[in-house]
Amino acid sequence: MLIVICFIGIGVFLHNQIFRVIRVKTRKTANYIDSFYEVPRDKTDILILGSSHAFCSIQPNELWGDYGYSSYVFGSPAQSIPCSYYLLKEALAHQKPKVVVLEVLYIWLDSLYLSSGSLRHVTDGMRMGKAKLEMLQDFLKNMDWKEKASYYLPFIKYHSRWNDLKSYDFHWNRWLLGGSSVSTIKKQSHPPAAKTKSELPANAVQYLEKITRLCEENDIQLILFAAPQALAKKNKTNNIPTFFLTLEDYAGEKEIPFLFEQKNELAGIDYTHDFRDSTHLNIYGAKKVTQMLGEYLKDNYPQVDHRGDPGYSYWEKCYQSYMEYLVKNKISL
Amino acid sequence: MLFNSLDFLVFFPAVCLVYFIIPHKVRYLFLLVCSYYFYMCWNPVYALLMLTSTIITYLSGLLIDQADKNPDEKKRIGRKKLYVALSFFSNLAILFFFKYFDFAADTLVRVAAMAGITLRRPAFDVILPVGISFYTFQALSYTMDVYRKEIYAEKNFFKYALFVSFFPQLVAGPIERSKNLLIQINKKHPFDFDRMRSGLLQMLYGYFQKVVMSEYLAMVVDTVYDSYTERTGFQLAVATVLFAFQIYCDFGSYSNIAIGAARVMGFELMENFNTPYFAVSVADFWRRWHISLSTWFRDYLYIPLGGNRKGKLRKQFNLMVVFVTSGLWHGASWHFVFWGFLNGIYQVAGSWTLPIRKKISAFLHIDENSFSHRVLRALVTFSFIDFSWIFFRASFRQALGIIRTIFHLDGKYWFTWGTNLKDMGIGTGQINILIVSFGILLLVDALKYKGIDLKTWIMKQGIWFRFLIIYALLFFILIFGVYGPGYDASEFIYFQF
Repeated sequence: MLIVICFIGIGVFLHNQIFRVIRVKTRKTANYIDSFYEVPRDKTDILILGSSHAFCSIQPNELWGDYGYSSYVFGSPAQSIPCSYYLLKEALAHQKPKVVVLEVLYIWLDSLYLSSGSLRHVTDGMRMGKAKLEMLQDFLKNMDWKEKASYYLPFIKYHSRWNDLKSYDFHWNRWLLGGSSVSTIKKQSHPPAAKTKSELPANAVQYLEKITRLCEENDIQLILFAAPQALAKKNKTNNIPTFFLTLEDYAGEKEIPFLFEQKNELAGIDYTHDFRDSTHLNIYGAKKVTQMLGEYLKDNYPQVDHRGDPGYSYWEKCYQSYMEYLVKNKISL
Repeated sequence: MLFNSLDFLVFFPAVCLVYFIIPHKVRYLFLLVCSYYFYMCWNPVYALLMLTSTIITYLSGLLIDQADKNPDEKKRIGRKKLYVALSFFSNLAILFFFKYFDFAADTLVRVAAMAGITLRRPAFDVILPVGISFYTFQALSYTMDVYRKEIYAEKNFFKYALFVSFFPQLVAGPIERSKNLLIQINKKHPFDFDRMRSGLLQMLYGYFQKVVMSEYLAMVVDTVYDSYTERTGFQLAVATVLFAFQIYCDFGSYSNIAIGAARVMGFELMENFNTPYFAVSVADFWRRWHISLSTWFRDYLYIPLGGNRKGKLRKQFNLMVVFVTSGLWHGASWHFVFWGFLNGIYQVAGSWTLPIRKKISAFLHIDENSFSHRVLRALVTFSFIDFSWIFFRASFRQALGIIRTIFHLDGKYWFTWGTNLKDMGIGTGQINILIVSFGILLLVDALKYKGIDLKTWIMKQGIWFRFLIIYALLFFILIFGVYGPGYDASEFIYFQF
């Protein structure tokens, strides 16, 4: 009997190791979600959640370099607010953040997640645990059991990637701490300010409330953040800022700080230099936004400066790698 | 449900768990229910068909047994023969209607057309009930065995029904005999850890054969055969050789999984494949390939026809009847019949040329038992068998086209450098996996040929070694196998909205 248990145990371990290599990854960022588990326990003071707007706008190494704040961007492409809620739950099992910055691009989305790809980016990286089980049960209610199986056991879906493995499947840039490092510059222009207000969808509000409650219960300061966006191609404006205006009122009522960068020009973004495409900042823009965040925290919710503390050497090491990367690629921020 | 499906991987452990918990007395009833459920996953209505065959043959057993008690000898024999005839006729009629009706009707129409008569055939859309060829033969063997007094007539209908429908071997064999399986149904099977491990290991090997080898080989064979008019002789030859292994792995895998699954539950099914491609003659091949079917034909067709007891010519005739029937059993199409016919001809020719071949060997001072001579014979046998596989895989017209190209009778380039092995359906990574797989297959079969059962040897080794082998095989299948929903990179390539 003991042999059977050992056998299954070793089997699970092997499966996990192989799966880490085989699951889908992208090149220029750390594995969005599962690099989180590489950070030392209970040492992250600032946790950032959200979509690509989160990991393109905030660079944890800048927060460390300028302020000594320990942070991690627990973001993923097209991460919806409900996904962020469960990620926060999962994070609280490993960390005790004092501040949570929630990037709110997907406040316009009424469904629980944008697409299977965006959901899988989250679930594939999460470890099997209470939060993940709750999340899958909540989100996959109407799914056929065989498709559900590929969420509980993503191995069966990705095993065929063995033929497509690249070097970044084996070595990934964990020192990016969930942030991005892209330095491409695409000239953009400032969009006109939004004038109307759109009603916030029920699902998004419901899960935002859950996040708020969770933060209150754990003595965490919640801060909402909306990243700047440039004018879309062919002069097509998007209407997402109309949701932000409504959110501004909502946040005001609930007394939740809301860093509406674009409207209030908080970070001094240069639209001709700081964007990599029409909706995402590059590393130059991220530096400015991160600095803005750092200053905001210093003035309103000051955190401990951990530079020099051996318990936080992980961030120091990441910062060294980050600086080396900047020098190697001749990026001067 | 297919063996290589998520359904079966849930079904089987669940069945085993319950099976070993419930009392012995009711186990056969539970297995009967599970077997019918297993069958009905394909088509619930056709389970009635299987039930019908079961009832007919069950009754035949009882009636034959009853007739045997008749004091009048003539009546006794007459009645017994009648019941056998009725059982065979009715079951074969069912088989004919559901499997061969379309084939027979089409043939009739074509023959009539050649004679200038136009026949309109009724439009019956008959779906082939899964496994009908297998369970019908299995049920008929019981009738014959009762007649021959080789088995008692089973009075318990449910036990008999389980014999006909036992799910591990229901849809793809081995075709069992009542003397083996029915007897075991009446025995107790306490849980045995070692027996379970042996069974699971055999199943694992079967999954390797199916999920990795057979699937990869299918990719090549299907690609090449489906575009045979644009292929060189070399490519077709390679694909034909690979097909021999595809069908071996595909069919052999089902047998291995069936035997393994049955063993876990305590049943020993008969062996169905015994290193077939090591055979030194076509006759030898047929003692190693689909053994349960060959022996069925031997016992219930060849021997009743007279076997080899009525002279040499009659023996060849009987052999031809058996193999043409076997061809027909495999599929309701003329190219299957021709395949069977070829295999029969090979053996007839083989037996006629035996004295000449022996004389040549003596003249050249060849030791017939030497390794090199047996390798030669095996290669020659493989070539003949593989040639006949062309008619198994392709329709008659396609087969002729393929043969023309392979034997360079069409004037096209037989071999072209550089691009020759590309576009055969798989890439380099997969070819490497295939090579490793062939290595495993060769090792297992070569050892078996020498009489070494690799399973038993592995089980005797130290625990670290056993774990290593099992994990290696298991993850080999899980990583490189063809299964699962697959993943589409485009699902992930996006960044913004």
